[in-house]
Amino acid sequence: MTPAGALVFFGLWEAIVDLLKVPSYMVPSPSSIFVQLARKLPYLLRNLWVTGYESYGGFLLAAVIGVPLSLLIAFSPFMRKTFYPGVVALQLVPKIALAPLFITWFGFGMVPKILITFLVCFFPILLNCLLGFASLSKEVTYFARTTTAGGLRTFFLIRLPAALPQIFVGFRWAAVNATVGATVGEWVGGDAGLGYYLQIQTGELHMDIAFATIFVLALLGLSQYYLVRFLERRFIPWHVSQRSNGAAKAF
Amino acid sequence: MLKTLVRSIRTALLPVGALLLFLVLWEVLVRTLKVPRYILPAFSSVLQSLGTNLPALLKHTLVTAEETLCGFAISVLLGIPLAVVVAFSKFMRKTVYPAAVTLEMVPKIAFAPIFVVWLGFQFASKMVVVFLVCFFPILINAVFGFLSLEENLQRFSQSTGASPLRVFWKIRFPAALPEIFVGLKGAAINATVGATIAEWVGGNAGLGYAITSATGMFQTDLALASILVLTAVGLAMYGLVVILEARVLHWHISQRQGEI
Repeated sequence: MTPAGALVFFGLWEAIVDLLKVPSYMVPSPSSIFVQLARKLPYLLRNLWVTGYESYGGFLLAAVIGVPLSLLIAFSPFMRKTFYPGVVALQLVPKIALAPLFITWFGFGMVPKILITFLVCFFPILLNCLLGFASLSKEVTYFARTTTAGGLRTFFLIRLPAALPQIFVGFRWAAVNATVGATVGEWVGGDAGLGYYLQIQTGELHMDIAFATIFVLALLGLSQYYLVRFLERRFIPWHVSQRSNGAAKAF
Repeated sequence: MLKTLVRSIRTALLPVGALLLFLVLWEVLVRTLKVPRYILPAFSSVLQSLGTNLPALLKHTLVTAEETLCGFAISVLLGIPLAVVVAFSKFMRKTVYPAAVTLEMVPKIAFAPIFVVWLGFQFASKMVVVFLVCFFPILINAVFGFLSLEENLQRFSQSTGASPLRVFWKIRFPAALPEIFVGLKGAAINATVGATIAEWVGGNAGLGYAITSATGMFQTDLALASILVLTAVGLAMYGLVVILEARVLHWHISQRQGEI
């Protein structure tokens, strides 16, 4: 969002709420949200720590398990024929629907939230890694063979770099999903975290605090997304997606 | 004909076999290890629960399907025209588009409790949440589709001397369709998730509600049955978009290739 656009948006919001005297339990003004953000900062930070831990933890777990598993599936024809269709089908299944069951299984602590986050991050990562490893262009494959480089060398010097752009598509997608997973996990059964705090505050009609919580939650989501973007720029500065100045695309 | 049938059966053999193996393992492990019902029921008792609770589940399905379809339809009806405006107005492209891209990265589902406060526990709050999670993929992909017309097509359309409106209908819109369908597919996946979560936050009907009320009473078999039905609803939504895509885009390369 451009700074000027944001300024106009929040200015209009403030003016409309002030002029029409909208009650703050319906729509709070940006200034009151900002005041609450400052006043409740200790609480927000404490809950941010919980949600951040769940969200980053689930994401990391998904990356640590998803990338090696995708290698296994991509390079074994048997595994590819057996599991690839299943992975594609599971991508369409609303996995977050399992959240209440995870609460039954693992209690109200952080573990079920980390697992829910893992679940919503795992499939985009796995699927995109598979896509990346499987879709190496023919010319490059032939070239790799002519160099008589060993399998491992070919992998690290050719296959992995060629797959990285697609792998990062998966990471970006997972980063966007991660905070959603953690928040929803807290809604279904939790006693801490920004999602929990948000639900408590809307329940008491403290909409200004609720919006402040959403603001912090959005910052958490953006931090995760931009961390992935940052890594992407470090690792694949040579790729066309990093060089083009064309229309920005989310995924 | 027979050859293709045999081949498709052979390619389906391994994944279907893996699924069956999974279900059998589930059944056997739960029975031999005597896992308590409330932790994990056997697959057969999930099916049994699906059978006995079918009327109630169908009622919940109708509620969720209505929320999902309405929210999806509204986001299509608003998203695609807005995408046209954004793509063809420089001002909108510089103001609305960056905002939409940023918002796409924000967990929009976080607004669900707020919509429940604003719009109540019934249909409206869920529909708005579904709209919210469908709208941005549709808008962003449609804008991207309208903007990324191949240069030779662009030059060609200029050379024909056709009016902008005619160029739009005959060239730009068809060329953008594949990308629009990418957005629609993403939105179709999001839609049931949005409805379910909104029902969790505040609802008294629908499959999401059925799941939480079943887990609350430790009826894990009923919860899994509800998840099964929910999955079917999600797949039906996605399938609808895919069928539509195959009908509309039968000329496009993505539809003519056999596999990825």
